[in-house]
Amino acid sequence: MDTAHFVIDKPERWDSSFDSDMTEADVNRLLEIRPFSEMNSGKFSKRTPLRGILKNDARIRRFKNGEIIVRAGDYGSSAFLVLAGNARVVLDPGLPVSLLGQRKSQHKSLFQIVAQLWTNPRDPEVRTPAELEQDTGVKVGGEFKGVFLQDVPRILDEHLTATMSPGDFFGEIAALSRSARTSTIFAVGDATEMLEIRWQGLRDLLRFDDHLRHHIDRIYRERTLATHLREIPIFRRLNDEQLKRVIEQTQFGTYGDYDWSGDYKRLVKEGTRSPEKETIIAQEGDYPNGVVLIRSGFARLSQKFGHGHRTLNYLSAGSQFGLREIAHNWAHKDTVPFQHSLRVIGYTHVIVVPAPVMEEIVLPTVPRDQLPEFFTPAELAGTEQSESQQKLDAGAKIGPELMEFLTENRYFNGTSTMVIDMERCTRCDDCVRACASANEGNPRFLRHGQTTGRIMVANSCMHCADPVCLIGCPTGAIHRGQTGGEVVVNQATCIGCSICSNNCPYEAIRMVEIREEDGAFMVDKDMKPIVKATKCDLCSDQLGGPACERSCPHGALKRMDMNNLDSFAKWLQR
Amino acid sequence: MKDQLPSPDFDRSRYDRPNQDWECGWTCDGCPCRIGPSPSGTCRATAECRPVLEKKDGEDKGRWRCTRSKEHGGPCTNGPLPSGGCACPIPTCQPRRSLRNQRGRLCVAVTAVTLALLLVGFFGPWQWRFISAGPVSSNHHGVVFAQMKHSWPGSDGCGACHTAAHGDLHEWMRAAFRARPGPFEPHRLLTATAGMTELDNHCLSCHPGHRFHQPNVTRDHSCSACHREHQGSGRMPPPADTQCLSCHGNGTVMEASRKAGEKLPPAAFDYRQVAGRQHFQVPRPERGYTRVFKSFDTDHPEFQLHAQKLTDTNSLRFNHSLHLSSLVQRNGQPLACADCHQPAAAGAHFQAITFAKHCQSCHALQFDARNPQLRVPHGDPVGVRAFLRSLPTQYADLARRSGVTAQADTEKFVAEEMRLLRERAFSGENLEQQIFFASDPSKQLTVGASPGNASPRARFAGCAYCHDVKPGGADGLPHIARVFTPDRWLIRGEFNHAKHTIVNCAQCHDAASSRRTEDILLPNKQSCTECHSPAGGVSQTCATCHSYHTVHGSQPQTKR
Amino acid sequence: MSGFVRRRLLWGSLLLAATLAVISAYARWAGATTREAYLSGWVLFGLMVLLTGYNWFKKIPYLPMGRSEVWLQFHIYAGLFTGVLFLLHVRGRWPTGWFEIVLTVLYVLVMVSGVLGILISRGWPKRLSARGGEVPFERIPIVRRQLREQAEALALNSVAEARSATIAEFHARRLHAFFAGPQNFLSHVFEIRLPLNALLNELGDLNRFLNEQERKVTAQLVTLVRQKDGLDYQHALQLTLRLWLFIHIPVTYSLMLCALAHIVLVYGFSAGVR
Repeated sequence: MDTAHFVIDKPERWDSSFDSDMTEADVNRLLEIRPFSEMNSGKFSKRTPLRGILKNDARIRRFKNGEIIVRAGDYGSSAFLVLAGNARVVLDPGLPVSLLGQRKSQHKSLFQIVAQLWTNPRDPEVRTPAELEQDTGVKVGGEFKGVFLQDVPRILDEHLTATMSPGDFFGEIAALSRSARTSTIFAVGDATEMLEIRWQGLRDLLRFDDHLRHHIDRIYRERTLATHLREIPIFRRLNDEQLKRVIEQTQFGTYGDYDWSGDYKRLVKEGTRSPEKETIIAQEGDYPNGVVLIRSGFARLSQKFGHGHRTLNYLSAGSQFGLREIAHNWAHKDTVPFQHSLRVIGYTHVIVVPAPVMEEIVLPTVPRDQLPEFFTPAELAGTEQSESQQKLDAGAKIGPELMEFLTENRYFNGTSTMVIDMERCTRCDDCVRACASANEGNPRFLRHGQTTGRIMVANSCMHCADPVCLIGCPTGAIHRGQTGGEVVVNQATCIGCSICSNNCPYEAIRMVEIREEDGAFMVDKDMKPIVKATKCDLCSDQLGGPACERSCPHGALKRMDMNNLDSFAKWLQR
Repeated sequence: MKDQLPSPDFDRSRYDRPNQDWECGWTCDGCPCRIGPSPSGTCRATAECRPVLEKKDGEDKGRWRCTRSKEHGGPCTNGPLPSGGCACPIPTCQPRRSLRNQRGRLCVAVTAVTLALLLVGFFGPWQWRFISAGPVSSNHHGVVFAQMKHSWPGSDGCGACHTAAHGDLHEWMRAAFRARPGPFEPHRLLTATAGMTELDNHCLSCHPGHRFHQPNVTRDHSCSACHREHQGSGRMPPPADTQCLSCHGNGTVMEASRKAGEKLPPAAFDYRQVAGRQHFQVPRPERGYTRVFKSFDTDHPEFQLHAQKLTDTNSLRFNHSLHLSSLVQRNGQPLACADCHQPAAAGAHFQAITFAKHCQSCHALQFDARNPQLRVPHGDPVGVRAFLRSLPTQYADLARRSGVTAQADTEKFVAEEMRLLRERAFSGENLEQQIFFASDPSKQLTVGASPGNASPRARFAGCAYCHDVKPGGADGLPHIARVFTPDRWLIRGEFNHAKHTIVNCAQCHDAASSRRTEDILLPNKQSCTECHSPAGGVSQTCATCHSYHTVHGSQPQTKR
Repeated sequence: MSGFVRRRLLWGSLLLAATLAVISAYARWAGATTREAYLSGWVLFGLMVLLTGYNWFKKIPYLPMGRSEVWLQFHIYAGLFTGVLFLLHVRGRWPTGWFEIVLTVLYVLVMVSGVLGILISRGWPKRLSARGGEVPFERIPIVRRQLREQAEALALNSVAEARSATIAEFHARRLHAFFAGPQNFLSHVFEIRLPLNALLNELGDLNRFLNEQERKVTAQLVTLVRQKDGLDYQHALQLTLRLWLFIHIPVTYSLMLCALAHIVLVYGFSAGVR
């Protein structure tokens, strides 16, 4: 057991199974196919038997020729197993973005920008035919409203592809670590059949089946860990041999007990959230057995304070925990326990480098001056604060109330969260008007939102670090921009299914009924109005950044990266 | 912050669109419809859905199906009308302009009203009074100006000075573009000189050039450089020192003026005569008045009277010291300055000293102590001679006036008095000579008092006692030099005594120690700067004393 | 030192420097018989054009012309600076001509409304956020309608439930009008709570005639009344924060027109050197 999975399972998810049409026959059929046929169902817990997982957490999907199964850049919460037919992985370079249902990121020309003065339609939500025009290379439709590549032979001809055959798994890393899909996979031939397993099911499969876990561990270590560790400064000096040894002994795991898109809104409403109930990754006062590196998701860093916990900060992808303690212990042959607690907020995927590995392999390669600051007796006694502690302690800088507010509402996810200082804001709506004039006369946010004290977080897209809205978009219409990473909706391929809008925990995506240029609502064959998802695109096609921020006459509105609470604190105390 | 009201619940799945010009008329009722008004503000409300006709195979008529979407409540219970129309019409409304649109309209309206009012103001019945920058100063009121006003009746007299007023807006614009620097050359304003402008030509038609200041002015200075008209109906405000100093503080300008002055005949500068007024004439200094200076208290030249040690050339002998001493009394009191120097009506200056008003009450010219009623007439030697030659008649007259009626008594009185007079003066000729020429107080003719007057009369020793009497006039009459008592001593500056009542006369005028007529009792500059200096705190601007256009020096600047 | 204080100091010292510079320049020019009134007039007019342009700048937020915040700072301090220029231009005296009086009055209106505007823009947001009950201005009628309907439903239901019309009568007499539209505008603007307290007292007095069940209803009504009062507060203050521009901007255009006319007049009629 070299991989730890600390999981609290909630089989209530089976109340709504992934696909209610899954029949027992389907399950029986699956159980005869590898790898399920090789799994020992006896190893599965009674709460989550293999049959149950296959019935409730998986679905069989059939793809037509050219249908895109996963898209590079998409966020998905499920993995795929090829059952029949074949699928092709598009190797580097990938397909053009327009074929993926995405919009090509580009700036408007200066003339186009000036021309907005008179070209902006006077009706709300007008869409021109040009805006709704899809790439002719793809077609949207089908049972799952999929996107179909129209000219498969030509794509096979022009792009490097690799074939995936029955029994092949893909998308599991992206599903488990909530990272973007690395490549596009599409079906070739009409007989392609896939088993799609949602991530909870996949997680349980891994827990109870050693073979699959070893398989995925291996892939994960090979493909992901090496590159990931290389990016972390403290591992940068390792040679290939050392890195290999580190990778071998590194553990990783996924924490969390719910999807934080849907469930979270409900839990917040019920008021049942509290830090004490969050899963603990590492506990203050425990012996530091490894450095925790956060790979995706978020974790709360807290410290005992009186009889409660005080949130110091939240850690996001790329942060580490415990390095200071381990380095100190290594250098001083001391046993300083963890000084903080690390708790899961929603969902966290972490990598743990055990303390012995750190001490034997990693730390000796680090020059003394690049090691973290050691603890002083005074700091351990709690009589003074070290520099690193102060740096970490954003809660002290922005105040515990605001810290709790940001954590409670998960606003740390935002990289461009719209915060409004309500003691400066005159409610003049200049920001809304500016937004509208930069978006064909349509505002893309609501100047309203959760408030604490003088800070309001407006209902505008925060361009999350972990964009849950991207999960489940059937056409890839909502995607990250190619340059700035901003989350945008391609109006041409959006089919108005509202999945992203319902997923967004921050009410930042609004469905609108679109109009013709003469102001009439566009309707489909059924005379139902066509709706599209709309949201802030961070003015990515305009010059000079978000118009809302620039247009605030009182400096009350700021797009803030919530992972840089220092700048937030600075802005608060301006 | 804990007692903040919670934010009320409302539908957050819709955007607010404050940028739209119109909002649904039902908004103020709190229930705007989903369709919304058109950009031009008409209600577009129709119905909640557009039913769709569904025909199954083999069916003839088909069935209308409600297509209302889930977000708006899903298909309605009643379903579409048989005709295919929606059974849930949306009530139409009268769309309202958004607040911001109303503001825009207000802007347009206010702009339009302003434009209209400006048109009325500029071209309406009171156009000239409206555009005028203010009433014209009192300097430019009067008969001449009333006439000028009549010569430009169409423009309420504005045309007299302003060419632009000769026409309409077109002419205004033309005048505006004739201005130098023009409206589109604001950058030239920095370097523009104060030369003559079109407007000044109108000033020049009455005020001929700068000769009314000094004939040797070398710069063409625009009148408006110093003078602001239309500042109110009072007098024009005085120009600031800086304007004077732009020439007088500038060595080159002064040097040029000096050279120009040298070429001019001295008579050219003799321009300050005012009819009926006696000025104390000061000779023009060699260099003219071209000394460069910056302020009154520091480097303003000493008054010429003192600088050139000028003396009073008056032929009348007058001893201020004697008159102010206790020897001379009036009603038992020594004389005070104000006994003779009585303020003129405005108080700025004093009434001219005349024999009749100021001397005669003491110097009664009584030559016969027995008959103080008889007095030598003052003013004309011929009259004196005629008086003396008719002395018997004068005595007869006196007798009659004193109540002697009988012819014999009168003759007796005349003969007696004439005899006594002759005893003293030997003969008629002698008497006349004595009256004209005697100046020795010891040979006085008489001392006495007028009837009813307690104060002793000044002694009358003869005309020459006060006057410069020389023999050699026509018919053997003496030549009495003309008395020249100046009305104004300082002709380049004005002094307002009324403004200086705070100080005693003697603080400036050292009259008590002046025994000679030649003494000019005017204070020097230093005694002025005791107050008129930054230290003294009293204004020391040029215009405090000087007027640029001294041709009108008759108008003292008292109303300021 | 906080950023706002530093900014105020920076702009304030800029204003002071500009004021000192222009006054000393004026003192120097005033004697040199140049056209200092023309100069100050042109600078004043140019500044006023820039200040007016702020409104137009806001209409093109997508052009990268700097942050509106900076422009507002410029607007405020340059606006104050026009006061200095204006005083110099009119040489500190009240004008004598009719048209010039019109110009002065317009200028004073713009200036005063601007100063009042910035005062309330800086001060009132604190009041709004301290009071809470934040609603976007456009949504206020919708929320008001919700509150009104809730209050009506409470009053109506109480009749059937308690078999007494006391609350319904009170609603008809007092609350109906209260919930019908924005109320007590001026007391909200001047932070006077008397009307709310009076209404709440009346509701409290009503309790004497009510049974237990009805008292629960009045308790709910009290909550609604407080919410409605908070809504009115938001409405009054947010409306005023918008309405001051109804003076500032239109009068500005009026002033600019008159200023143009003034320039024509000055060049056409004065054409002197000052």
